Amino acid sequence: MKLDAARRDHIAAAYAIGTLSAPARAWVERRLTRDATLCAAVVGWQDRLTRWVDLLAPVAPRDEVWLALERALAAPSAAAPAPLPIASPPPVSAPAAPTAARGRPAAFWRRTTAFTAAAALALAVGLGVVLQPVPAPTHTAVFADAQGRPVWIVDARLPEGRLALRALPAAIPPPGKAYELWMLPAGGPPVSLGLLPATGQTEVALGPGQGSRLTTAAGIAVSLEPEGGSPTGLPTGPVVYQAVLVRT
Amino acid sequence: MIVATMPDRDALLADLMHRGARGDQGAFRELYALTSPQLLALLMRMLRRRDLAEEVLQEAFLSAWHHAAEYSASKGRVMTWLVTIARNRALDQLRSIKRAALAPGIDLEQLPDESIEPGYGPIEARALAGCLEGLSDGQRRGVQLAYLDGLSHQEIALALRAPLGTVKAWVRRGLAALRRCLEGGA
Repeated sequence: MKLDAARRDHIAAAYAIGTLSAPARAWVERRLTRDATLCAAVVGWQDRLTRWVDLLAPVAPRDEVWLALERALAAPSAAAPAPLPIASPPPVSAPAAPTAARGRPAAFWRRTTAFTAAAALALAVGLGVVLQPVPAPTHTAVFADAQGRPVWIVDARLPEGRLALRALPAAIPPPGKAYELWMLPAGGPPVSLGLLPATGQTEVALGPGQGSRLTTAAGIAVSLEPEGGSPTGLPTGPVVYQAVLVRT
Repeated sequence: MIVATMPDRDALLADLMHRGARGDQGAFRELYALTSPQLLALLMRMLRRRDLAEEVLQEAFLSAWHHAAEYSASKGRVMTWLVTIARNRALDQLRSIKRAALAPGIDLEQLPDESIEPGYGPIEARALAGCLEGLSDGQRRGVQLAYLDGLSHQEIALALRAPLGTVKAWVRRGLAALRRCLEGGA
């Protein structure tokens, strides 16, 4: 498959930034072993994007990290360290036609290449995304941290009394603690809506009447509670996030 | 703090890497000292937990040590090579923690503050910061959530409340605009 310059650059950028699906990534990695131009494009993107890391406020690792590393370096190296899953240019002498291909019917190769090309395009463009069809939420909210980065997404289907709570990508509470979700009714005490997942997604079934109360609530909030949730039915720990449920 | 100008720093890191490849642990330690704070900043952003981030940092450097002889200028700058190793491991880690819940019992560490520290970083990094400013809001946030936070297109779509197709276009166009800006020196 011949990649034109624009498509090659698009694939290289998507590979470097990490948004390709697993099959598309695997395809690129196979191709990188024999396509020096694609390899150079990937390295170019990695070089550009890595500058961003220089802009982050540095965080010094704890001394233990180097000490453990030093012990590991001193240990006899594993027989064969796992290969690095990063762009490696092919050997300089690569351009010769693959010898294994000789003698095979040309039509076979044409078909295979055409198929691979089509599959690769589908992967690179569609990125193999399969989304479960779920009913659209009626209301939605995002709990974000101080930097505006999402921590949880709340998607509510209020007529059915369902909430889908999704951690993005992970929100791990301190040891022995849990994050609990609260509805803040206008002019009433907070009402627990259950515990938030540390990773992945959970579904919550609302109690009778809670769906309609949520539409008029002043907001929703997250507090830090003992493992298993608040023992009193009211928030006992600090409120760490607040959000407003909006109609979609 | 005095930051070496970039070509000097790149050359220094490359020299340390080559000495590390010949088994010079002292050189490798210096390489670690010079690069690990930036790498850990990225890993903590992606993994949101210091313990996980330090574990990945350690694995990444161990891997770099064993593969040091494979490093060459064709792999990009030393920092690029190290970031790629660390980031790939962190992405693997993220994919697996999204599949299985984590064991509890580990500290939640405060995240580093900002994605961009104004005025910090060498000149090339500031050029990137300037180009990021030029992107539309959706493009910048999309590219940032993908690169610095390791989110997938679908996760970015959820996070930014935008249709998947829009998010893909933001990321793609954001990257294309970044490249034009960086190459034009604008």
